[in-house]
Formats: sequence, C-alpha cells, structure tokens
Amino acid sequence: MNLQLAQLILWLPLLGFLFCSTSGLYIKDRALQKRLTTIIAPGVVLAAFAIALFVTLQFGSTSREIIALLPGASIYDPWIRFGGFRVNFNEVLDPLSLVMALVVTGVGGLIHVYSIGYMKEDRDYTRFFTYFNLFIFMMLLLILGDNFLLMFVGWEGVGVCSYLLISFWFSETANARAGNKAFIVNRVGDLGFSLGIMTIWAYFGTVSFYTPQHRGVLELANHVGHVLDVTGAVVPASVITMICLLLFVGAIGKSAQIPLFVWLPDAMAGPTPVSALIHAATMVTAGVVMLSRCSFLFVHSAVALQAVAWVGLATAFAGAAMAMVQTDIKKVLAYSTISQLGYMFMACGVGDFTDGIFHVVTHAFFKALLFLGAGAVIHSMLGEQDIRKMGGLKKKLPSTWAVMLIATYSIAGFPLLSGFWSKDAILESASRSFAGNGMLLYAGGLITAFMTAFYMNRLMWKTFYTRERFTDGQLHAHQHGDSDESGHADDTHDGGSVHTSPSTMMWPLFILAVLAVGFGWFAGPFGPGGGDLLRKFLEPSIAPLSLGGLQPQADLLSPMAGYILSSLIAIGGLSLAAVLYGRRMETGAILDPVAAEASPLVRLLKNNLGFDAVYNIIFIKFGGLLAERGLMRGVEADTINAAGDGIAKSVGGISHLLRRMQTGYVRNYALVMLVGVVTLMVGMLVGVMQH
Amino acid sequence: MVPVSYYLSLSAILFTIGVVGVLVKRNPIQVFMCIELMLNAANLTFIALGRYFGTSTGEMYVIFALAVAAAEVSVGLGIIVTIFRVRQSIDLDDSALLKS
Repeated sequence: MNLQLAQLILWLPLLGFLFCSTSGLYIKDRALQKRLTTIIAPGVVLAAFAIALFVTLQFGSTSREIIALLPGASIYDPWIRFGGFRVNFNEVLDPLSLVMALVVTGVGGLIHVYSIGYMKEDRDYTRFFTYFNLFIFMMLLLILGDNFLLMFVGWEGVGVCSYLLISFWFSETANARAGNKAFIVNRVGDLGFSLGIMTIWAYFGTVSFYTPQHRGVLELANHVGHVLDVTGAVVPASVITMICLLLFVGAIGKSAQIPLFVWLPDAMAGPTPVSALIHAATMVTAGVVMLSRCSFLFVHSAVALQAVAWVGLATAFAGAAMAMVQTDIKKVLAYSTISQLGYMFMACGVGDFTDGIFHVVTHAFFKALLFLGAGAVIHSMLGEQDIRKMGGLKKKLPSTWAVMLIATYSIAGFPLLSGFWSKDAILESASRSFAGNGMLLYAGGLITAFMTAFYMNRLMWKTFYTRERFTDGQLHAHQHGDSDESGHADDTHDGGSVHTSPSTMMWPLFILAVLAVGFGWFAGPFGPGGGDLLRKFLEPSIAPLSLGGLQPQADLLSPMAGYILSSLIAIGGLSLAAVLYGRRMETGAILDPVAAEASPLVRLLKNNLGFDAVYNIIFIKFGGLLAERGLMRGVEADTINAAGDGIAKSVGGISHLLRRMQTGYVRNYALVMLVGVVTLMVGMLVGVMQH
Repeated sequence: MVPVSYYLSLSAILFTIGVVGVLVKRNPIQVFMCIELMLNAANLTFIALGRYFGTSTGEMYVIFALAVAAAEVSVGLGIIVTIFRVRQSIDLDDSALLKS
C-alpha cells in the first residue's frame, strides 16, 4: 500500500494557488487566464478529492499512518529544531483526518465548480480562485498536520483566507470592516490556542500528535486515568484542565461560539460561495475538528468537557433564537450555522466526539447546499438579499426551490434525512451526559431543534411560497443600480426578470442534495455494513470516555422513542411555520413590521443579544479611551517621548555651552595649545624627577 | 668662554618673547616673526648644547630646521597674500569664519 500519494492531497491546492496568483505575470491574455483558472482552480481540488478518496479506500483497517509531507523526505526529518524543541514536518493519516480531508476537498470542489458560474462576471475572477485554493491548502494543513504547530499554521492560514474573502469586495467599507472584525475577534481565540500549545510544550515536552516512537501527546494521553509526559512523569490533572480550556478558547473563536460568535454574521459580507465553503462547511468546523483531535486530552478533564457542553448548548439555543428574527437570507443561515456548531460542541462536551464529526459532515452538506441555494436565489434576484422583498420564487426557480427544500428538511431533522440522524445521535448522547445533567441538555437540544425547524421553514415560506413582494421593474432598476458594486450581477441576461442560474451552478447543488438526503442513512445506525460505519471508522482517532474514568449514564428514552420524539419536534416546528405563514400569504410576515421593530426582544435578538454593544463599550469606547488618553498620551507622549526629548534637550543644552569655547580666534587656540604643551611637559618633568 | 647656561637663558627669553608675541599679535606678519623667533630660540639651544657636548648633531638639526622654516614661511606668506586678496584685510581676528 503506497500512501505516499497522500502528500499530493495537500500540495495540489497549493499548486493551484501558485498558478492563480502568478498567472497574471506571464499570461497577458485575460480571457485565456480566465479560461485556465476555470480549469485549474476547481481541477486541483477535485483531483485532491479523488486522491483522498483513493487513499481512504486503500486505508482499510490501518489505524494510523504518519508520512512525511515533502516528497523524498523522511518522517524523522525535522521542520524546526531549536534546543530541545523538535517538530517534524509530517502529516498524519488517520480516520479523522481522512474524513475531514474528504469533506473539505469534496464540498470544496463542488463549491469551486459552483463559483465558476457565480463569479463569472467578476473583475477579480482569478483573485477569487487564488484565495479559494489557498484556503483549501490551509484547511488541509490544519486537518492533516501531525502536530499542534502545523495545525496552528493552517489555523492561522484559514483565518487569513477568511479575512481576504470576507472583504473580497473591499471597495465597500462595510465589507472591509467585516473582514477586520472577523480577523480581530479570531485573535482572541487564537491567543488561547497558542497559549494552550505553549502549555502543552511546557508540560509534555512535545507538540506532536503522534510520533514514530509513540511519544506524541495523544499517545502519551492514551492511558486510563492519567497522562504522561515524554519522560514518563505524570502530568497533573489541573494542567490537563488548563490546556483543554485554553484549546477550547481557540475553538470558541474559530467556531463562532458564545461569546465570540459576533464575527460570523458579519462575515456574510463576502461572496456567497465563501459563506458556503468557509463560514458554513469547513473553516468554522475547525474548532470541532480540533476538539475531536484532542479528545484524548479532553476525556481526562470532566470540567473542560462540561464547559464545552454548556457553551455548545447556550450557543445552539441563542443562535436559533437570533436566526428567527433575521431578514437577510444569508444572515438567517449564518445564525443557523452558529446554532448547529453549538450542537457539535455539545456532542463533544458529552464525550461523543464521533457524532460531533458526524454532524460536521452532514452539516457541511446541507448548509453548503442552503448557502449555494441562497446564492442562486441572490444571483437570480440580482443581488437582493432581503427575504422581506422576495416571495413567490418557487414558480420561477423550481430546481433551486427543490434543493433548498431538501436542505431545509435535512437541517430541521425531518425523519430519515441526513440531519435527522446526526442531530438525533447528538441528542441521544446529550441525554446520557456523564455528569448526570442529561435531562437539561436533552431538553435544551430539543427546544433548539424545534426552533431550527421553525426558522428554516420561515425562510422557505418568505422566499418561495408567499406572494411576490418585488416587481420586475424593481429588479430592473436594481440591476442597473447595483451590478457594478456587487460585481456578480449578470449583465448579459435579458434584463428585468428573475433568471435561472447556469448549469455549473446547479449540478453541485444536486450532488449536495443527494448527500444531504442519503449520507445520514449511509453513515448512521441503519446504514450498510451493519450500521454505524462512520463511528467504526473513526474509532482509532477518538478517545472513549472511559479513558478519563467517565461513564455515560443510562438512556433517558429508548432509541426508538428518541427517534419518534425528534421527528415530532422537527415536523412540529416545520408545521408551525407553515401554518403561521400560510395564513399570511400576502405580507409574508407574522408580526406587524412596526410592532416587531418596537419589541425589545426582537431588537435584542437582532443586535446579537447585545454582545456587539458590550464589546463596543468595553473594547472600542473604553479601550479606545485607554489607548488614546492612557497609552498614547500618558505613556507614549508624556513618558517615552518625554524621556527621549529630555535627553536630546540636555545634550543640546550642554553643546550650546561648549560651543562658546569655539571663538574662531587663532590666538585662543594657540593659548590652549600652549597650556596643553606646558601641562604635558610639567607632567613629564614631575615623572622624570620622581625616578 | 661663555658658559652654556647663558646661551640657554637667552634662548628661553627669546622663546618666551615669541610665545607671547604669537598670543597677543593680530598682525599675521608679526605672528610669523614671533614663530621665527621661537624657532631660532630652539636653534640656539641646539647649537649651544652641540658645542657643549662636542658633537655636530645639533648643527645638523639646525640646518634641517632652517630648511623647514623657509618652506613654512613661503607657504604662510602665500596664504596671507591670498587672504588679503579675498578680504582686503589681514587682521587675524577678522578671519574667524569657523566660529559660526
């Protein structure tokens, strides 16, 4: 079995990035450059997917393989050697990294293909694909790196790509600000992550996950009840808890959990494929991937797991609540992503990392599908994103409607669709929480599931079913007013009416729709091969709770009762929205818009629960004041600069005095010379006489 | 025979007159004359001591010193003439450009 091929999974997207970023230098024909980009940028990602699939099929029953990242290099070759600090430049192939690599390259490839159509008219077509390929490379580095440092490089790399792509249309100040916000909020999380890595280095003496000598962090943590460092000494439990909490801070930032979720809704300023790929399917799940990768550490700390579970539940609930009042089609989906990420964290927090990853995968399918569908809607509406101004699109965009419907039912947890299986698995694990609070987590999860079904069907009704709230004339005006700034509006169509999307934008949707329907069954408990395919495959990468001496509680409900209850909740949520909006086909709004604006609850939900306002006061107002008055004036101007100026002034003053000695009169100099010579001679005479 | 101490005393007196002259005179010609006076005071010392010790080394040095003094005077006078052409004055205190 030759797994060396797996190096290419990582390097192909980098080659694509290098081509896209430099092609402008040697290809002067812009049309040719665009054609080549169209082939190469999605091509490398799809090729990487094919290789990842091939490697996965070859993988068989191997549990883990470490291979050098550079062709021809050995796995013992160091990347960094600094005193006792050694890090190798290897990738780890194990079920977790392969599953994620398949998701990233597979969903990523489909979104690349979709973007060909979506970005067709954009002036910066090649720049877009440059960033996209770089993102895929960085994400794969994050997933495949065999140590915390490589993971961190990828982690920061995807952050940079996220920043670049959110502010892709940077000529709009709001977009540039959204990019800044995402990047700066992520700094907070990344600080925690990097402190966690440093703590790991300090206490373990290594930052590798796995090493050829079986001395990696995860291997050292793979003991029942205790964790060893490289020398064989036991690492204290409090240190493990601290490390886990620090890593969790990193995950909170990247995966937009409370309290650092505020960047994700603003990140919707980027092009829709960016929202689908980075801010729904892959990058934001990096936190879950990291927690799962570190499951061997987390199971040793019940405190850290509890923190993860509660933050997850709170985020799931708050995200769903905020999604219910949004009026921008992409923001509904953004808050929905926050909420679904909360589910994944809750799964990790009860020690069920496998189902966290299960939900990552199914969520990647249906959320990418939702975003791409929303992109097709926006594309057809010529840039309009406000669902209050849509309605009646079912007739005009039947295939988009169909795939959106599938994705909506999947995320809502409609029985037997992908989202149902993964969400139910999470709820079941939550109900058996080792800490004995399963009842609370389960109830919270169910309420959130109900809200999810409601707000998703609300989106569908407002967009597709209720009466049209736009006219062709509006669209016409919109097209001419907005096409230049939004960049993606299609100028070639016949003008003025809703138009359908090109085929490259549609068939990725159909593939994702198939996965959003079928993958849950395939990987779930009733799938082929005796069921639980994903769980069995992931087993070598995920630590069991028993490693930390923790024990899941008994079932609250039998599995079948759980399925029925989840189904009822999902159908109930979907029906409630259908009934409420079915009665208001004309306006497409349940609440009177004026009354809704006045309601304090709606206002709170629309304003990120006040987090933005609090951050604004603490960091921007107060922090700005501290920086300006305290640091800039007090410390810098009055202390540092004053000290510098003082030294300069005193030197100047002394020089001013000394300058008087330079009279310019020859006789003065002669006198000084005489005095000097006399002094010298007197000195010599004294010396001679003393001998 | 005149004792060597007389020569040395005379030489010291001449040298002192030269030093004071260099310090107080504002006319460069006079300053030059004072410098010559100091040189010749030194020459006198050389010759007196050479005679006293019965060697010719002192006289040799004097010839060197005369040659150097001649060269120095020619350069110095050249500079003075040039300064006069530029400034229409040879007062040393007027040539204080370096001060500012």
